[in-house]
Amino acid sequence: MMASIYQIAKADFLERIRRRGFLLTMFLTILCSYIFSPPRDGKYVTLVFDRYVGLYNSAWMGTSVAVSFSVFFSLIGFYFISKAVDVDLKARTGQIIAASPVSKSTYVLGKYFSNLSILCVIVAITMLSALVMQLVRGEDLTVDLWALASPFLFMTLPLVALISAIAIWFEIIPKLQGTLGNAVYFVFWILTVFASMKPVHLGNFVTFTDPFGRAIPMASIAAALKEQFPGYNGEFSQGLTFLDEKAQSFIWQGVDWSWPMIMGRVAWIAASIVLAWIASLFFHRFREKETRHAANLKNRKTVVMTGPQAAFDADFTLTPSSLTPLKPKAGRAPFLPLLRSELKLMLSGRGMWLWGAAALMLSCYLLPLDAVKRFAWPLAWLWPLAIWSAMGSRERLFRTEELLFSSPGRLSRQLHATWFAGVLLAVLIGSGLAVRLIAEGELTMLAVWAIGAIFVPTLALACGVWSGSGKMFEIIYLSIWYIGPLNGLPVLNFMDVSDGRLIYIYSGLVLIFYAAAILGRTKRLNE
Amino acid sequence: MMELYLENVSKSYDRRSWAVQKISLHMKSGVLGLLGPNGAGKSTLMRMLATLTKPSEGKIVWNGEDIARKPNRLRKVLGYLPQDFGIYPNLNAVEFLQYMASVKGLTGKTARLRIDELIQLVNLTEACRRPLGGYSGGMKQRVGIAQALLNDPQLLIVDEPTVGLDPEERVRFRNLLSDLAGERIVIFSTHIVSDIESTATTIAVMQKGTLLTISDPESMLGNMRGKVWETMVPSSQLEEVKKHWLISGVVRRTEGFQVRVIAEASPSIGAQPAAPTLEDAYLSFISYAGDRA
Repeated sequence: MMASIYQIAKADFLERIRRRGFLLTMFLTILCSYIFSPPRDGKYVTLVFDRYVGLYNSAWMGTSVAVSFSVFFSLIGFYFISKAVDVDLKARTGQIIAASPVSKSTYVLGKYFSNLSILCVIVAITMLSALVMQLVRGEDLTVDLWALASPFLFMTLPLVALISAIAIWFEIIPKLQGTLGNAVYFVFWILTVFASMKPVHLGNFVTFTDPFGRAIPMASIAAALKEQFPGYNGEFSQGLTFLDEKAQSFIWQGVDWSWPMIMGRVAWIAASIVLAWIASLFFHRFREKETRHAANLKNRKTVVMTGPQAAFDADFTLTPSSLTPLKPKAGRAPFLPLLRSELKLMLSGRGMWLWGAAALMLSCYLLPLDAVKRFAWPLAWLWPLAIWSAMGSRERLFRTEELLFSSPGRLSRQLHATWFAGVLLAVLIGSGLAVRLIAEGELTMLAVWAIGAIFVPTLALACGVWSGSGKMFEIIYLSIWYIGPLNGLPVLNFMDVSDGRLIYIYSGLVLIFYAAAILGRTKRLNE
Repeated sequence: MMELYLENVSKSYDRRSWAVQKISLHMKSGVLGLLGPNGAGKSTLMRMLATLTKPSEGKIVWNGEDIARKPNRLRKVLGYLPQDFGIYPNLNAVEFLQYMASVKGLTGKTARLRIDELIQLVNLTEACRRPLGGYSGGMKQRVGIAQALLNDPQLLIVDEPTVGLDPEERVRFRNLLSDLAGERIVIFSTHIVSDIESTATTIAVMQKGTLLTISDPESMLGNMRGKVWETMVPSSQLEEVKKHWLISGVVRRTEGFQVRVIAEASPSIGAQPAAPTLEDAYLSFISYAGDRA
């Protein structure tokens, strides 16, 4: 069994790290490590205790990068690796695996270890980058490998093990696949980040609700700081924090990792393996699709035609020669029918979704204006997430590219129609607010609303065309939506109708994203 | 009058190796059967003809226009069925064809009438309102054929269309292509000789990116006259015979194996001349080209 797990993990690991996207990931990882270790006279920090930042020695550099990386990567990492089973679906090797004697647990654990290996490579690159950054910043050139590596070993490693297992769950449970799963994970991540601020201790071993393990270094750092600067107020801030003045430095030599602490962290790894194993109980060995498909067929009263009536031209009533001849039309083909078709395609198979959309649209008309701006409108523009995320990538996902790209006006017409359909959807679902702004004569506010309605689908189109999947848009848009419209961070809050500057900022972004979409499609066509 | 002209068309993806090299041919109406083993460059050539990729060298001219410069001229009259294509599983056949019709610039009553006719032609009338996700492979292929015929194409390109079809469907598909030819150019790529035996008016054989021959089936068969033999071989000698002669068929008999040999002269004393088939001709070309390489 161990040999099979190893071979499955190895094959999956090699397949995924040899993809071009992995090089980009490595580049982004190094870039993040750079961002997470800002210069002393920089205007921002990523880990600050009151107004104090540790001297950039191995312990501080390792810990601060590991902490920042853990929180950030627990979001991005999930989306990055959540396609271990999908690889076999896409490569159509799933049926071969299904017919092999490999057990469900062996296969799923193989995928789990593959996920873990990929994330470990990224963690290792981050660790090396932290070492390089320590030397680049040059505040303390003594390299203490244990102090540098231990935060990655005991904080980040258990976390990525957990993410590896969670990603498997989100791939195996049908309801958690796709956009809904991505959104659910996003909410889960936010809740975990908040919960980890106040970890629940289960004895000395496990800091329950803190998979990041942040509490351990934070307590150690706070204690060291209090000793050197008794005036320290006990507060700390993690994440991008802008400073008005240069942060004061203090010396911290790292966590004195005790066995109970280490065991507490190792417990997360053990729990993640158990979690992955439990997931294997729900794995359908690639029969899952058939099952779902069969359910669909049942629901739609669809039966695959079998027997003589399905024969190619039994009861042939028409011959090719009796087809009505068509004459090719000169000039450009009309755009509206294509737009209608794109809209129809976007909404196909979304019966229940439409009811939700109608309810949100109506709530924008009926609720008090403040409630609309604060809740109904942001929700209305989150509801079509799955539809927007398919823009620009649907053709690749359903392998219709060759059919579409051999049609007249392949670049301009179809891409414009997809974009326009996405914008129409945003306009329709948020129309309640627009009507009320018009009624109140708030034209600037209306302009902010309108540019928002254009911005979201344009971002979706650019992300879809360039990434070939909906995931990139889902991550970016969910993050913007959470930080901006929901938490009101200026500039990112593109739904702040009181801020007229947004018209110019987001108009610029729309132009950039639209140009990017066209460029991406042109590149794809020339491949 | 439609006319397709390929002049020294080559395609390289990395500037080191050539997927297609110096292909020249001229076509008017009829069915061109493009034969070749897997990896011969057929699909690359098809993709260039379908304007999906541009030739690295040479040019493809449709009715006097270089399609690399003015691809839309061809696309308006092009029907293309790729080897591997997908559908939107939540749409039914009619909705999918309506979508493809709008992409191809076909609208209104014309599109509706055309779709009705095509649905009947490919015999999907009963299933046409059911989601495509529930279709079998053969049914999806029929939807593919219907979409390729939507704009009544003057140039119809079908790339390995019989892959995945059962024998009955393959026969019917070949007949359909044959009927469709009429006043249009049909280019039909396959690695199965029997697919084009009865349909092609011209046959082109490709290997390793080059065009080995282009000819009509009768001439190909004529060239093979007197070069195909049948002889009985004891079971114990079959492996030895295979090493020395180009074998195009082996049938087990009670007294051993009846072997079909391609050779300029009689391979053995008891060998009888046999009527050549396109399979023999194809094998002979491929083998001869292999020997030369």
